[in-house]
Amino acid sequence: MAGEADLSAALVAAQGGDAQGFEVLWQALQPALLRYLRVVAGDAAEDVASETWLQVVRDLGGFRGDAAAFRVWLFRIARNRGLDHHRRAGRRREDPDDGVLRERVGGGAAVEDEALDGLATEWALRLVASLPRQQAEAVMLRVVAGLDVAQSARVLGRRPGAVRVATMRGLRRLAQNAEVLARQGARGAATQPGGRRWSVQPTGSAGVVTR
Amino acid sequence: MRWIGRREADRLLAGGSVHADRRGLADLLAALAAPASPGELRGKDAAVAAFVQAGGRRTAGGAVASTLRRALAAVAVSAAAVLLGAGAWAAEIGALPRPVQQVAHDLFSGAGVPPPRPPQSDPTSGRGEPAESGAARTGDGPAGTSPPGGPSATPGRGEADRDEPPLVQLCRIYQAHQLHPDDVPMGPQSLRRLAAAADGAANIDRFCVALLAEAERDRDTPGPTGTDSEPSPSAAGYASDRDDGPRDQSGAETHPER
Repeated sequence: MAGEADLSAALVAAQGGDAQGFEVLWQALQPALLRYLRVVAGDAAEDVASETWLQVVRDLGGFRGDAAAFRVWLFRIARNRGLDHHRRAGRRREDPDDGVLRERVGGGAAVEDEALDGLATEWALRLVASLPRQQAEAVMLRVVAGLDVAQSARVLGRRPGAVRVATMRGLRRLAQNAEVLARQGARGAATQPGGRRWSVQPTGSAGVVTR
Repeated sequence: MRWIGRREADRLLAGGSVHADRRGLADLLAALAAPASPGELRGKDAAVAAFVQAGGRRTAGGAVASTLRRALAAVAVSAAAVLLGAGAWAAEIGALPRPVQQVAHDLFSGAGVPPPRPPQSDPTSGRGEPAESGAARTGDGPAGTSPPGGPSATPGRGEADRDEPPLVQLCRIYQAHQLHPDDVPMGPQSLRRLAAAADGAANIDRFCVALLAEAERDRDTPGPTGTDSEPSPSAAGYASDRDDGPRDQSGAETHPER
């Protein structure tokens, strides 16, 4: 996968104590991490992301694996921190389809930035967050985190088959969403979202190939 | 509406071509993975700073790249020069110890800080000196190539920029420019200044990361006194790397810069 070699090099460097390597990892993965956490933890996403990276910093020396494994590890930590957050906040959702996620995503301090750059992203996150939680997480891990089925399953602690089904159900539900259909109707000759994967990484970042 | 099958789901997830009646969904997925906004990279300085703090304890076998180390040392010195009026004044009149003066000049060449006198000519003379000597050694080029008539070469800069060194501002602009080159223009003169301070255009990224991280930290805590033996806690943390002269020279190039 493009960029994976760079991430692997950055990972090795970071494990050796090289702050530049860590910076490359952070810059490459933080945007996806944050978006995943906005679906999982809502307004607390930034805080949870910070906690996640602090744990990474603390435990990086004991981590063994390549960049792909690191990605899984990172999102696993993020998920656990997100769940911790819910427990602490005492508002763990038993029924994820109650619209709570929908309200959370879109709030928070990032709004003014999103207004400039991420209206479409904001819209997309809001719709994904309206899915049942398992579907939302599966879609985010597959699409935004760039994980395959097996890797997503490791993050979620579920069987690959279950992740595949959850992803498909999520896509089906999104395809039927009225806003998605309206957007589709509003478009003329559509462009293809080719090469979308990894495009979440910022362009021009240090040592990271974006595609 | 057609039911999404497994094959089509895979195609959607991979960002491949889709039928016209899936374009709304394809749009949504593309938006999910759209390029990062500046807001999404907001915590980078803090994250890197946290790593540096933790990393200072485990440099055994770790090759902290020379550019970063140099930048940390340089910024430590700059913090001293900026935060302490006397230090700043000393730098402006060229009275700091030579390595310190060189770094101060590298960082604030546009702020009226002169280079050390006499100019350093032997690149190996600094070996074994404290961490910031690395900056002095490799700073020969940029010090000489700094645009002499930069936009900030006006008198009295030392006072005006004490709270916000121009390079810090330039770095902020630079990072925004990297993300949104169209929205945040950056002139060639500014880029040259940054390249000079970072010891090469290829190093601007990491230079700015280190500079901003340190600037953020130093904003709350007063800087060290600016003696050349203990420039700062962070620089002192890399004291064990002092003697790695060869790596000091080439380390920056061994890391991915693609």
